[in-house]
Amino acid sequence: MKQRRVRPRLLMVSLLFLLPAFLFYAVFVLWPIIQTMWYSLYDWNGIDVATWVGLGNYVQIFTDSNLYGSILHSFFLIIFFSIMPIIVGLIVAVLIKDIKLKSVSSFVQVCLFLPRVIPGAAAGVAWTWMLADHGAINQILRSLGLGQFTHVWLGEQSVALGAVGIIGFWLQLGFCIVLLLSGIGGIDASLYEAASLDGAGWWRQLFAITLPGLRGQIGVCLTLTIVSALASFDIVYMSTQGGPGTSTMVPGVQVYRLAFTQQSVGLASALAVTLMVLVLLVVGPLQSLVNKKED
Amino acid sequence: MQQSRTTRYIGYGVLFLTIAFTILPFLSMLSAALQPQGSTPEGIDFSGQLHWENFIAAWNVANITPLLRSSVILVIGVVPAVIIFSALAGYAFASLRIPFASVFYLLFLVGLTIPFETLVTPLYYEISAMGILNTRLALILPMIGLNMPFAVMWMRSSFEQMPRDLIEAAEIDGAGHFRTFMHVELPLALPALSSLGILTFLATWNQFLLAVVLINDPDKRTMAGALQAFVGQYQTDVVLLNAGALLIMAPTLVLFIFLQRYFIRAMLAGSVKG
Amino acid sequence: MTISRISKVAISALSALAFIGSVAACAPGGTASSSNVKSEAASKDLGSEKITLTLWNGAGLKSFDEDLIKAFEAKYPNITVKGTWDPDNVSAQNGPRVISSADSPDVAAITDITSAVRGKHVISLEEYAKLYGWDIPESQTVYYRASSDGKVGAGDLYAVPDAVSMTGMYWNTKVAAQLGITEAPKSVEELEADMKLAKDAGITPMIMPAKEGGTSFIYQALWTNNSGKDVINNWILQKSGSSIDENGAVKAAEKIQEWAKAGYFSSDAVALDGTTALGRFNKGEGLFFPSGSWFSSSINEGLGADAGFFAYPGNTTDQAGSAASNAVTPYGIPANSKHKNAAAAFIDFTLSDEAQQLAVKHGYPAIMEGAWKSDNPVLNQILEAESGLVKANNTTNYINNATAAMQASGIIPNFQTLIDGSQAPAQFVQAIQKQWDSEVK
Repeated sequence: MKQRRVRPRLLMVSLLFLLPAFLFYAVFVLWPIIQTMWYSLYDWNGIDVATWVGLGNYVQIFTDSNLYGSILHSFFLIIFFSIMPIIVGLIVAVLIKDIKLKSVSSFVQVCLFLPRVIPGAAAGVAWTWMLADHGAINQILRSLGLGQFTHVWLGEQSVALGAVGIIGFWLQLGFCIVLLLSGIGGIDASLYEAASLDGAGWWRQLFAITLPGLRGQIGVCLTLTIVSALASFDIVYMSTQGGPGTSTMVPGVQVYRLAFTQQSVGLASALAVTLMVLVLLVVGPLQSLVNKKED
Repeated sequence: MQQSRTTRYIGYGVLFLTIAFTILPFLSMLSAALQPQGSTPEGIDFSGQLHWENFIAAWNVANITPLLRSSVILVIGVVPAVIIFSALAGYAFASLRIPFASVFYLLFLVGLTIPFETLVTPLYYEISAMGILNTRLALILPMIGLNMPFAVMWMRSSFEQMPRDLIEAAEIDGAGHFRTFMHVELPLALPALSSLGILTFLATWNQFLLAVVLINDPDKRTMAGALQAFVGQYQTDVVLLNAGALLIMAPTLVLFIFLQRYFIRAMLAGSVKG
Repeated sequence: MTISRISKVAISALSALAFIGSVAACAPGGTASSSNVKSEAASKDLGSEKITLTLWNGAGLKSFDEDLIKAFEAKYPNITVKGTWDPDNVSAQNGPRVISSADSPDVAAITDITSAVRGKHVISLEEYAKLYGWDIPESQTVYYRASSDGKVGAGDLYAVPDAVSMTGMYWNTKVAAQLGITEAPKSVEELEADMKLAKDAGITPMIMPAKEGGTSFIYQALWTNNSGKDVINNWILQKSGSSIDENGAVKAAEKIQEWAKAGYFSSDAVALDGTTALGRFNKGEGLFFPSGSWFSSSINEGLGADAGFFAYPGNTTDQAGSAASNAVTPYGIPANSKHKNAAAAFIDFTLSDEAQQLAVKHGYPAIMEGAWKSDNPVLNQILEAESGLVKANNTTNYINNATAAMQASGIIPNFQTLIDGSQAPAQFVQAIQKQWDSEVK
């Protein structure tokens, strides 16, 4: 990092700019997180007086296969929630950018953004029917003569987690595209002109200008989608509730179950804290992508 | 920019498939919403008689009118605050010098990583201690806080994309930080601000769990909660649930289509200036 | 400083903060609940002062409750009842907090009797029971009696059921007639023979919504046949030493798996939810549909005269049938209730003939004895089956309610793996017992 003398007044002004956001955040997010850490050391039903259990809840998480298994599932979902939407999103964003017709482009954008408009719970419901035995997906497969590939998508342990992943892909794709598009809009058009004059083709421009220019957006996309994979809740809750068996159970649903159904707020908090630490370890290093100043 | 014809055709093909994939669930919902009430449709089917009156029935059954008002109040309380606070903080992160910036930034990141469901219990006790349980503030204040990590991250990254030379030029002109922010950076950030506005609106509009826990009066909860009227203990009214879901999405959709034109215009303007 | 180093610092700083918090403060909970409630002596006399009584229940019961309230207000003109109904899929989760909060409702559905009594969030109804002379069948109140430390099954009465919810088998008599079946099966053997007939004719023998744990109703009947109702009820009442890991329960699980393998259940049972299952049955797509009294109006509307209902049969024709049954709403009085006498009057009113007839009108079997009749023929068959089972005294509570998370974390996932064949019957009962052990203290 460059060493530069910074005037104290600038530091003060900076803090003032930060203050309102941080204040709300500290009171309504950070403090509850600290509370959650505190709860995680107790056996507590959320209402009556709690019993101190120390690290007992954490021991249970790492010895109960149902609990640590759900964490593994959520890591698997990263493929669908994060990697696939970003790759497909990049391709589509670059394509839309080149569409010169403004009306087509805005129609495309509205369509792609639709999944984000719908409440997560409704998305879960819609996809549950689509993936059902008599649902649209199997309807389409049969009409294409691919009847042998039909499944009860959410009812077979071998395909259920992947099917849930597809819902996540659907949900994240439009968001990634919109974010990447706004980044492409910010790339200096003269860079492309210069490259064209130098005889750089479409692919060279993609790798030499577009991708580096989108570093920040890709970083944000990765961070947010990985977080949404690891902390996924509504899609799984509405589509499978973690079943069949525990084959699609994820920590988000498990935490909700433990806290609200089983009234084991302590154990739920411990699982949440474990998950939080894991997510931080994964997305923390990604921040160097987002943070340009680290160069 | 040159682009071979094959690439372009492949491009349109991919685009078409993506859009079909995106729209399919909505067609499925619309198909279900137009079936006779009380039936349990499976698959997509527009062949029978279409029952558009289901939308009116869904509106009445779910008692949407007061919920619409509550949601609007909530959005008015939350979205502007989130946009203003996060723009200030994002600017501070990107263009000013916050002491221990990395630590602050990481603290914001922590908020994204915790499953939201765990925060509900501590929030309940906190709101209760503040004495605002069952009031509109019980939902507005935490929603501002909960939107903050994403919003700050979003604004920071968009301020960082801005051309440095413009800002430096403004600074050389002797413009203060606040003036640079207001007159140079903020106008450039309009596309990012409008998309943030939409995303924050959605997160607020679709919030449900927090409303159930913090507000006892069902009429003071959110539009997203209206869907619950169709989900019984044993039985779900599939047709009305779909009609209701489409109704709930409608205002968001209108807002998005409206803002989206502005969004593109702002984006084009930004790139021309850059 | 690199980001990863900063994250380490930040994480350890946060944990340190949490640790300080935990040492400095006392245990969480137990402070928010007590409000200043003036004690009132139990009395039938409600005076003439205007009272607003608040009520809390699940949204599915709103129309029944509203009729109850209207009739109650007509009887007690100085009392106004203001109801709040939470969505059904969150009411169980919200219930414990609602009744323990300082501004709790005056009369409320008690969703978890154990924690409510243990935390002293509800009052004992014994005095009111004597005062009003409540005479409710013991088989229906036993689940709402508890000792002062929350052990359910004996002790003071803490909630009063207003009507009954009961499991049983619906069947499509038209489909049956096509298969040459003229009578409801009187034993499990006959049931199996009928299912084989249907299977051979290409009709789904049993519509099975295993996505929501719908298999448990018929399973519970098989288990009751094998082991007797006391074994099941002791397990549900959390008596120490009871276990589902026993021979009769394994045998019942073997039967379910056998049926699944024979193709007697819907082919997509594991992903089939209750509503879709009901829709298919109402379209005439199956022969049997194991479910409960809550679907009587929907099935009457869907199938009309073709619909039939019978109690789950015994293993042999001379063994009595059985059912799981409990309250539609167990009403109790939160400790913070400001109008306990008025709340008790409301509970008393739910047991009156007028209120019981309202229950039947809304499709819920009455809890008090009487010659109840409905204009819904399916419900009449249910009422008939109910009175037979009450006479035979062969009902149990729902195994789904054995612990707070039994349905979500025990019943649903393990029936799914039992049906798809990935879990053997012996492991099935062990997995369910493991959930029981983790929650019963």
